[in-house]
Amino acid sequence: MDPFFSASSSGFAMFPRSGPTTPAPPRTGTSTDWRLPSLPLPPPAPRDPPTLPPELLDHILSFVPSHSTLRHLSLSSRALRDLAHRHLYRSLYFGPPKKTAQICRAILRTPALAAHVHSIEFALYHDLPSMASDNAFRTVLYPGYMRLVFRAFRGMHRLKLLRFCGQDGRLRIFANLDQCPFELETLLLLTVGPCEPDFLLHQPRVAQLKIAALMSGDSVLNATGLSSPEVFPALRELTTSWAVALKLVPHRPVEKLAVIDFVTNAALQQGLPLIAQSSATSSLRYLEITVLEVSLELLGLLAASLPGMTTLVIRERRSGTVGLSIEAAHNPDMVFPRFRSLQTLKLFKLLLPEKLSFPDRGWNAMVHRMGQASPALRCIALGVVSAGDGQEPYGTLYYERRRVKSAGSVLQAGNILATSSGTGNGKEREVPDIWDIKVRDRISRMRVGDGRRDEYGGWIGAGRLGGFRWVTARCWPAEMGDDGAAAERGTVCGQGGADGSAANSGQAGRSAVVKRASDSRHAAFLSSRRDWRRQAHEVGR
Amino acid sequence: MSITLISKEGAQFLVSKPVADRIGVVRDCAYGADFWLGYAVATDDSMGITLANVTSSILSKILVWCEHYKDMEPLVDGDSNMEFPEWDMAYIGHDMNQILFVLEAADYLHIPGLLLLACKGIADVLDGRNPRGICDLLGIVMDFSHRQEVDMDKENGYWRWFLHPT
Repeated sequence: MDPFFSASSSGFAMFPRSGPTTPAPPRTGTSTDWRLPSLPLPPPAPRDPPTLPPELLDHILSFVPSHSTLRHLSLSSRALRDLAHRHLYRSLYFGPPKKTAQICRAILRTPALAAHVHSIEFALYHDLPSMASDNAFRTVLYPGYMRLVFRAFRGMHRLKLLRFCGQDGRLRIFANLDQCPFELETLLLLTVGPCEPDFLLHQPRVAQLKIAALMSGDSVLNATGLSSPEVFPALRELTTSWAVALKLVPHRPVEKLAVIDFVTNAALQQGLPLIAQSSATSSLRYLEITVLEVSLELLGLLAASLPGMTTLVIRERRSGTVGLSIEAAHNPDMVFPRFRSLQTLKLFKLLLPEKLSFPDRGWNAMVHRMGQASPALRCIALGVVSAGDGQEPYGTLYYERRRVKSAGSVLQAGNILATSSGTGNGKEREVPDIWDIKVRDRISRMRVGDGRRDEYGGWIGAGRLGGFRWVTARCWPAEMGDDGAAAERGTVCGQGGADGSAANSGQAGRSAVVKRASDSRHAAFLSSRRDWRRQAHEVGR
Repeated sequence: MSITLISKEGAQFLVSKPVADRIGVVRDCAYGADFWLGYAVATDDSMGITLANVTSSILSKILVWCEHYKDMEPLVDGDSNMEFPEWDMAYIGHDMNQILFVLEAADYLHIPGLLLLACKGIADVLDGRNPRGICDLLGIVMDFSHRQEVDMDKENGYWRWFLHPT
C-alpha cells in the first residue's frame, strides 16, 4: 500500500493523479518504518470567509463596474466607505449647476475627498446659453456658483485631466483657475469661448492638449507669450487648428499632431518647415491633416519635410478623383515619394466619388508602387467615406504586407531563389511584394463567397468572420505573373505548419490564403490550384 | 522535473515545472534558492514545499488554473473595463466563499493573474447588491445603523450625477 495517504480516501482530488515517484529514504538507525500509516483525513472543517486586507479590498473595488454598487459599498462599513470614495470621486462630471454645487459642497465638507479627484469633465451646456444672456443670473447667481466650484477646485491637487465643453460666453470660466494647485497632464478644450491665457501659462506639465474650437483657438493664437518655449514645455500630443499648431509645435517635443481644420497646399508648404522643428527625440511621428486632394507632390513634400514620421493620415475633401491611384500607378515616369520610416498610411476621402468600384483595381497597383518606394511601409488604409472626428470610416480597405513565419523561401524580384522547409528561426518576416487585403465592408458590391482574379495579379475572395463580413484578398504585382502564385505557394509550404492554422493541414499542391481578420480571429481560405479563379471557400471560425 | 507541494492538511501534489512556475512562492523556493545556495532545495526530491495557509481543495483548484496557463500568459493588469476569457470566468464561478479563499491563497502564493481574476469574480458577485448583502458576502460587520445609512444616503444624494450622461 502506498505509505502516503491516497487521494481517493481523503475525499478531495489530487492533482495530478500520479503520486510522488520517489519515496523518502527511511531514517537511518531505525529498523521500523517511521512514516505514519495511511489514514483517511477528516473532512475539512468549514471556515469563516477570510477577512481581506484593505489592499485586496481596494483591488476588488477597482473591478466594480457600476457606481451604484460603489455607493452601496460606501454605505456598508467605515472601512469600505473610505475605499469606495477613492473610486467614486476619481472622475467627476460637473454638469447641471444644482448637482455640481452639491458635489462641491460635499468636497468642501470633507476636504480629503478632493485628493481622490483625478479627472473632471466640466460641461457648461446645461441651461447656460440662456443663463449667459440672463443678466440676473450672470450678476447675482453665477459668481456665487463659480466661487463654490473654484473653492472645490482649490483642494484638488491631484487633478490630471480637465475637459471643458460647452459655451462660455462672457462668463469667464478660466478667470480663477490659475490659482489652483493642480498641474494638468491632459487638457481638452472643446467648444469653449475665449479663455484666459494666464491659466494656460501656468500648466507646465500638459502633455496632451486638444483645442477643438476655432473660437478658443483664436484666443490662444492671439495670446502673448505662447510662442515662448516655457509654455507647455512637455507637450507631446496636440489636436488643434493649423494656425495654432504652427505656434505650438516648434521647439516643443510634439510627437503627435492632428489638425482639425482644412489645410491648403500653399499653407502646408509654408508651415511644414515650422512643424519639422518639433524638438521630440524621435521628431514628429504622427500627422493627421485634411487637404483638398492628395497628389504625389503633396506626398513628396511630406516625405521630405518629416522624415521620421511613422503614421500619416490624410483626409481628402475633393470627390470623384482617383488620380493618384490609377494615373500615377501605371505611369512609369511618375516617381513615388520615398518615406524613410513611414509604417502606416491612411487615405480617406470625405465624399464618395461618383464612379468608384470597391475595391478599386487601380489601388492594387498604387499600393505596389507605394510599397516599393517606402520599404518600411506595412499598412495602407484606403477609405472612401469618412466618418470624420478621428473615426475609421466604414468600408476601409486595408493593405498589409504579407507576413510569414520562419520563412524558408527567399523572394527577389518576384522569383523564388531558394526554398527550404522548416529552417526558419520562427520570427515573422514580411514578403515585400505581396499584400494582404482586408475589408470590413458595408458598401462593397461584392457578395460573400465571390472570388475572382483581377487583371493586376490579385486574387479576391470573400468570407464571413465572427459576425462581421470581411472581404479578403491578396495581390502581387502584375510582372510577377504566375510566379506570384508560385512564390505564394512556396512560402506557405516553407512555413512547415508554423502558422498552426487549418490552411496548412497537408493540402499538397494548394495555395493557401491565411488571413488575420482581427486580433484574435484567424480564418483560413483555401483555394484549389485549378479553379482558384472562381472559388473561395468560406471557413467559419 | 517535478515538485511536490504539501497543503495545509498534508496532502501532497506532484506538479511539473511549468505548472509550478505560475506560483510565485514555489518558484522562489524551488529555483530562487539555486541562486543563493548553489543548489535547488525542492527540485526532484520528496521533501516538498509546505504551503501551510492553503487547504487541499483550494490548492487543487489553483493548480487547475496553473495547468491551464502553463503555456499561456495570463492577464496581469487591468481594471473594470477589462474582458476576461470565457474559460477564466467559468473557472472562477459565482461561489463567493470559494472565490474569497482563492483570492486569499493567490495573494499568499503570489499569483498575480489569479489574484486579478478572483478580484474580478468578487466584483461581479457584489455587483447590484445592497449594503447589507455586501456585508454578508464579504463577512464584514456592518457598522452603520439604518438611521445613519439613510442619513448618509440623503446627504450624498448626488451619486447618480457621477454617471456620465453619455
